[in-house]
Amino acid sequence: MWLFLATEVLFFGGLILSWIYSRHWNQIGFDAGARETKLWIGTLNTGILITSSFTYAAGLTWIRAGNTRRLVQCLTVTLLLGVAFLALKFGLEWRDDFAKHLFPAASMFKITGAEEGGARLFFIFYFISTGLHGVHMVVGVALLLWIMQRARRGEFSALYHTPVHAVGLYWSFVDIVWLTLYPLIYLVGRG
Amino acid sequence: MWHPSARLLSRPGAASGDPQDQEQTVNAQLTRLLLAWLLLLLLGGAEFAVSFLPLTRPLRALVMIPGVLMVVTVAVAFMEVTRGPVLVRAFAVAAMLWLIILLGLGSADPLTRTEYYVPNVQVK
Repeated sequence: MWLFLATEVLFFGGLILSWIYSRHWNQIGFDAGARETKLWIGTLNTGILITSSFTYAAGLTWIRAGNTRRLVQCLTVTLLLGVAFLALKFGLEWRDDFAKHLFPAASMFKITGAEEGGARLFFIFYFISTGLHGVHMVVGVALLLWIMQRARRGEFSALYHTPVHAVGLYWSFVDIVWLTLYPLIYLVGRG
Repeated sequence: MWHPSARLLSRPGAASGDPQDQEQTVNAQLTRLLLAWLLLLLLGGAEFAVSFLPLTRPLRALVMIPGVLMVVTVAVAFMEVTRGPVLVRAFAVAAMLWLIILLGLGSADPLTRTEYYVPNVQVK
């Protein structure tokens, strides 16, 4: 899992590098794009993901003590928080972005004038980065369901719970990716 | 070979199998996680507040500082990077090293390039 996460760091690292590079040459357009994002959704989602990492880590602590029931309870809360994140991001935020003509390939793009080119670039990065993060979240939710199913069958104990630990590492890593994307998308362009 | 449960089992309470000691161990770990969660919320709030300061464009990157601290907190408290075996720490350090090289070298050009003023003169 650590080897996989190391490759993921480089995968998202390249994306963030291209973001930094593009933002440097298109600061006005990027700032105009950032002002169109929904700050309250981004901030709420940050709190949701932080809390989900906490509940997962709590579940891991319980299974280390051999308490499967508490593990399943913690994972259920984690799962609900993950689904809430996805619902807010794709059910509400993306839908609103499309409705407001913020999709970069839209013929009637909302931002016009000198800021248009940079703002379109900002939203290209916005949709790619949040889309990729969303795909990772969906995989995480599927892994959570798998762990919960195995836990219900009584396959984990204080002596054996390696899959719980491995999926926890993945979930926290997806949280870390969001903690990097959140200021880049919502905060740096404001002020 | 290292096992995730080895840390718990190496503790006096867990090793002895005494339920009271084990409960104390669990409570101590949950308290540590709760403190990390509160720290993350605090840092998130600080990051949010700093973003509203009237900073000039070059200084806007300072908004990322609480974010970096949040990443470190998650890695240490929830992923337990510092508690794993040497191999885990080696992977974590290697990932950070390559990331720093990637971002450092990649950002070097845009951050250091000098832009010279070119007068708007038409050449006949």
